[in-house]
Amino acid sequence: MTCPKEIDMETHVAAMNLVDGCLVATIQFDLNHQVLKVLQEEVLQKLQETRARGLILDCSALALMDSQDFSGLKRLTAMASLLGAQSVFVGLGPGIVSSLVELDVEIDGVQATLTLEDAFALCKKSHSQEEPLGDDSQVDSDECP
Amino acid sequence: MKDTARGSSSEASHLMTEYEISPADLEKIRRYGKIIIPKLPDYVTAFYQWLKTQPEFDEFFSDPKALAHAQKLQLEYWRDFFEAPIDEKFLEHRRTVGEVHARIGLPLPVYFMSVNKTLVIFTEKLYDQSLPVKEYLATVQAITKMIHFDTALVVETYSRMTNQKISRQSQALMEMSTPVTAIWQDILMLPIVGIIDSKRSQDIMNAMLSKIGDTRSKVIIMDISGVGVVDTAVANHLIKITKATKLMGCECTISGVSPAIAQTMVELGINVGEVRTTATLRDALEAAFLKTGAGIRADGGVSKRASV
Repeated sequence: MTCPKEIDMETHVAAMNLVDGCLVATIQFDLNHQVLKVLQEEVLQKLQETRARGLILDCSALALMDSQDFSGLKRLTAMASLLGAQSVFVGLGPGIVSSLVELDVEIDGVQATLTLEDAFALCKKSHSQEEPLGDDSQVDSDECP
Repeated sequence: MKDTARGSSSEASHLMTEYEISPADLEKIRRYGKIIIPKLPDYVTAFYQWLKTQPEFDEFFSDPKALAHAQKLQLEYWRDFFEAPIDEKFLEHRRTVGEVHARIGLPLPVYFMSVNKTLVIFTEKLYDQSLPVKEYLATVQAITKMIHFDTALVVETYSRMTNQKISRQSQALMEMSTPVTAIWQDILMLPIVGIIDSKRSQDIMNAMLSKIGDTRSKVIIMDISGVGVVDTAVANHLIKITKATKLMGCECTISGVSPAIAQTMVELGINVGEVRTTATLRDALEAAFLKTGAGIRADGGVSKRASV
């Protein structure tokens, strides 16, 4: 994985783990324009590598989020969807939720849960609702670097 | 001297200026005190003779021990008054008296009447006619100003405590009015009654989000059958609340939508988007059971279905 020149860090913007066919991206830094850009690249690249059908955006480490950050994340979920992964937001606390709602963000189509457990349940549900395509096997061995 | 909010000597002297009590007045009071202080027990007797005739007496002084204690405190109170040491301790003491009266719930008019009676006893009944008339009049004036000053301190505390009580009660009322309850595993309910303005809807949202965080519930049913009017503003508040709960992984169903409300909402062009709404609480509950994976048996009971 290439590390962008602007952000010099050992750790990535998000810790990513593939669990049960879902990519869990745990966001570790407060969002801004640059962080969102890097997050986008990292997540989409990983989705391509792993062919995950679900993307779980774990926001529990975030203290703040404004409407631009939220739009940025929604755009990421739209991109992930084009790569064949359905997204779920996890861990948005009462404080963040109150502010987002005050800012009148659009949430139609957004899936969110409080816990990772519920997010996995949601992911599994949407997988099982899909029709298998031809001989595209859904049983893959996890290829997680 | 450090200037603190309460009872600093600068505050004391400031108050004295406000009440136009000069050092000369204090001198007169102290001099009069030499006549009065030895007679204070007579004051107490005369005062309680009068107080017994008041209807409030039995309410507050039926216990002889309490009565004796109050009388002792009264002696001290008026001794202080006539010695007139206007300093922090004096102010503090007067405020404490105010607190005590407020706490036992003595009505303020009764307090005022007692103070007036006291003034009459001091300046008429117990007066031994020993002073020249002009000086006597000036002394009565000084004592009257001082009593006003004294009473003001007590009353200030009284009203502060009453206001505190009122705001505590408001707070309690507010908390009682948003009872978000877990009515089943993973299912919360909140009946909303009355008017929803922006402050109330903020309180409702906070209460709901807090409970969702605690219980990890999947569905919350907001019943609005007790809400009289749903106009654009109210509808926006409600929709905002449903957005917030959704972001915390809890679907909000609005139940109790009446035909009148349904008509108004469509006529106003209010679009609820993805929010589920039902006419009855029962329908909302059935939907909630379906969503949480519980099943309603033929006999009307609820059982857990195998999870999807």
